[in-house]
This record gives sequence, structure tokens and C-alpha cells, in this order.
Amino acid sequence: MPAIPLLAPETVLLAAGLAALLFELWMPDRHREAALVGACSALAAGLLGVLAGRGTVSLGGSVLAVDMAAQLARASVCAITALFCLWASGASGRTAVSGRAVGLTLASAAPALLAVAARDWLTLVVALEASSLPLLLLLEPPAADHASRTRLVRLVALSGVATMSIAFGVALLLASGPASGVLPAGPLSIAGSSAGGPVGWLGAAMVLAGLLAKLGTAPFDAAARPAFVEAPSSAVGLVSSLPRIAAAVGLARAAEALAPGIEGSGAILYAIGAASLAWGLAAALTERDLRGLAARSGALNAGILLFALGLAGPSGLRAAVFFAVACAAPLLGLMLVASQEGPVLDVVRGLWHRRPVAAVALAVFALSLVGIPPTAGFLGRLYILAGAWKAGATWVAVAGIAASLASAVPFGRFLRASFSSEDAARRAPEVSTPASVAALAVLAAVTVLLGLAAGPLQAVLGLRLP
Amino acid sequence: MSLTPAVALTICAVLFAVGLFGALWRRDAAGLIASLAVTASAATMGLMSVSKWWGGGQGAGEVAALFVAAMAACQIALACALARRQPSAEEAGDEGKVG
Repeated sequence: MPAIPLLAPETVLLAAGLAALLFELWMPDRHREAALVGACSALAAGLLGVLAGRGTVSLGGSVLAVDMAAQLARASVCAITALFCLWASGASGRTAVSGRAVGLTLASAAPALLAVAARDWLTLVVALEASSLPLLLLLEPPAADHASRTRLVRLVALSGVATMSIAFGVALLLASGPASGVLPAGPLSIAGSSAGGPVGWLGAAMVLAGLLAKLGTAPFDAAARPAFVEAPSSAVGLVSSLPRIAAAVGLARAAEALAPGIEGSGAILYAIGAASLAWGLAAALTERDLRGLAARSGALNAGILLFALGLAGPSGLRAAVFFAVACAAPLLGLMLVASQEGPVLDVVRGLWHRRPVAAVALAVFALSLVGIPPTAGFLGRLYILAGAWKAGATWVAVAGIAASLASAVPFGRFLRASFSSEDAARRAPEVSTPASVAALAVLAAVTVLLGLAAGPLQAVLGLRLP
Repeated sequence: MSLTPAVALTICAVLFAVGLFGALWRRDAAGLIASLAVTASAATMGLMSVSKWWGGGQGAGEVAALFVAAMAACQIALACALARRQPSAEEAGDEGKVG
């Protein structure tokens, strides 16, 4: 069997995205078929990525390397894209997803795969931006007035400023440290970077700030929330999952390269993580809209992620990547349920009585985001917080556990409402289709199975419970 | 005053700070887009400066600056399109429809 090129998944996704956009142009009524083609393509891309295995590619100065962590992240991006497209093929009426949206999703997934494998700054920055920009377009509210458009423009502008912060930070890093000048790790190599002196520290801080903004950490979630609560819920789910996996891996690689050169970097990362947790929790406690909760969950999850990066070393990187994946899937699932049923607390009330599968799926996703076993969110937190405890950072473990338990308040509000017997006035729900039910069921099953997969994760990723 | 590396990077840093302030302070679309353009200029100039004084003739900084400038153009184009777009009557009735 001939070797599969490492970039085959990206090629398949881009081709499928183009096909979906052409579907929209020539056959705008066939958006379900476009979504099905998108789902099959994303699945094929994921399989190709697994079969292509690990390796390194140097392409016109750009360096891409797929290791175990990158393989997990790439497979997750393809799986999430496939499940979204499958759900979209069953969505209809007011929650319909156009061929254009499917095309933009696929076009966003391809650079996300590149960002995850990037080993040089330029590829990372460009791929991160390319993975988030098409999805920001999907946040446009259909009946937008001038004020809501301006809020979305603000989010786009701040996202762009975050990218420029990373770019300028890289310039300062290059100015502060010697270029390695050794191929394939050239002068823009991430691994060859170092933060020497005040200029280098400023550069590292700007790179870190830009990547944290892409992750939705506090206080950047405050800019996202106003745009999220006016956007379609399924688009919010996409924006909260795909680019964040890419940003998390990018942040992990940057921290791995830059942290050793900065004294006390572990403590700094822990402190920023704790601050993000506190901010996100304070803001999330009063949320009554699932889309707002998605914005705040960026701050909450980024806090735990920063704890993983503070652990340093390859184990911290792998734990961070697994945690990013463990957050992305349930967050997307939660937003897809919100898209079908309604994102507001009052509308979700009594969901169990009218659509039990959606209610159970909502429960699984919410429990995973809180970190209750046996879900992926629990296992992800366990790797990180147990590692922090063993490394002597007891307060980090206690803070993480406390924040996770406290986050049960806002999510529990929605859980209680969905299983309550009150039949509040709500919109008439859309008819469930097998495709949308299957997508939610698979997402929920994956969320639980990942939480039970400690053994396979140890064997495949080298993730160990300390 | 001759242009030294320190002066160049300081100008870029000041430009970036101005753009960042504008992006955080301004509430109108035009101001936000202009702030984005200013930060993009700062990042591009910073990469060009690094390439001139630290690049060793490899040209990596210039290539990166080109890509960053292209990215900025896409961001600004998207922001302008979102700021000016008028929804159709058909779209106005689809609350949760995506795309």
C-alpha cells in the first residue's frame, strides 16, 4: 500500500469545502446533501490522518510535524467536523445549515489541522487565523441591527489584534534571541525560540496573550459573550471547539519552547490560570443563556489548560491536548442541543418530557464540562490536577477542584430545568431527524467513552495518572 | 536621529499600543477596523525590522511580514463586509439558521 501523504487530510477537507460552496451556488436547496458529503469527507480525512501516521514535512520553509499529541488533535478536529456536518444534514427549518456554512466549516477545519502540526511560528499564526476567520462569519445573526453588527465586528477586530499580538511577539523573540539557522529548525522555528532579556520577555508575553485570546481566556471572553448570545447556537459551538483545539496545541508548543527560558514560568502560568478560573466562574454563575455559558467556559477551560502547561514537559503538553479535546466535543454537543431546542433557560425547561435523547445528551455534555465522572472532562481534569498535586502545587489542585465543583451551579441550572416537569411556554421544537439524533448520540457516547479510556490513553498517548 | 534597531522596535511597539488601545476603547465599526489596521502595520513593521537587523539575509522576516499583511487584509475585508451587510427579508425570519 503506497504511503499516504501527511497533508492528505487537509487536501480532502479543502476539496470538500470547495464542493460544498459550489453546491450552494448551483443547488442551494440541496444543503442536506452538501452536509452529508461534508460529513463523509471529514470522516475520510480523519481516517487518512490516522493511516498517514506520524512524520515530518517541510514545505516551502514551513515545518509540520505530526507526533502522538498532534495525531490525537487532528483526529478530534476531523471527528468534530464530521459530526457537525452529520447534524447539519438533519437540521431543517429555523436551524437549517446552508451549504455555505458547511463549506466554511470544512475550510476552517483544514487550517486547524495545519495549526496543530505546525512547528514554525509563521505556519502557526497563519493557520490559527485561517481556522477562526471563516467561522466568525457564521456568527452573523440573521436579523442583525447596527448594534449587533458592531458587536460582531468588535469580536473580529479583537481576534485580529490577538493574531497581530502573536506576530509582533514573534518579532520581539527573534530580536532578543539568536536565530538557530539550522534546517529544518530555521529562524522561525518554535522549538528554537528563546526569550532572552526584557525584549524577549515582552515578546513571550505578547505571544502568550495572543494565544490565550484565541482560546477565549479571561478577560477575552468578555468580548466574545455579546456576539455569542446573538449568534446561532450551532455556530457558537463551532467557534468554541475547532479553533480552540488548534489554539490549545499552539499554546502548549509555545509554552514548551519559551517557558524553560523564563524563571518562574510555572508559577506565572498557574497564577494566570487561577485568575482565569476565578473570572470565568464569577461571570458564569449568573448565566441563563447557553451561548453565554459557552463564552465563559472558554475562560474556565483555559484556566485548567494553563495548569497543565505549568506542569511543563511532554506530559503536561499531552495532558493539555487531551483536555482541549475533552472540552471541545461536549461544548459543540451542548450548542447543537441549544440550536434544536433553544439556548435560553426557560425554553429548555421540560426537555426530558418532549425529547428524552436530547435531554440525556445535554446532561452528558454538561456533566463533562463540569468534570463529573465518567466523562472525558473528568479524566482530563484528573490528569492535570493529580499531576499538579504530585508536583507539589497543592493549591493548584485544590483551586481546580473547587472551580470545577462551583461550575456545576450554572450548568446544573440547565440540567434541573431540562428534567423538570414544568411545561413552560416555548417555541414549537423542530422535528428530530435520524441524522441529528445520531450526531448527538455519537457525541455523547464519545464524551463518555473518552472518560473511560484511561488504559488506551496510557498506551497510545503515554498519558499516565501520577 | 538615525534609525537603529531599538528605535525601529520602539516605534512598532508604540504603534501596536495605539492600535490595541483603539480596539479596546472604540465602540464604532470604523474605529475598530482602523485599530486593527494599525496593529497589523505594527506587526508587519516589526517583522521587517527584525529581518533587516537580525535576519542574516535569509529573508524569513520579509516573507512573514507578507503573510501577516495578507492576513490583516482578510480580517479587515471581513470586518468591513460584516459592518456593511444588509440582511434580506428572507434571512430576517430565520432566527437560528446558520449561513
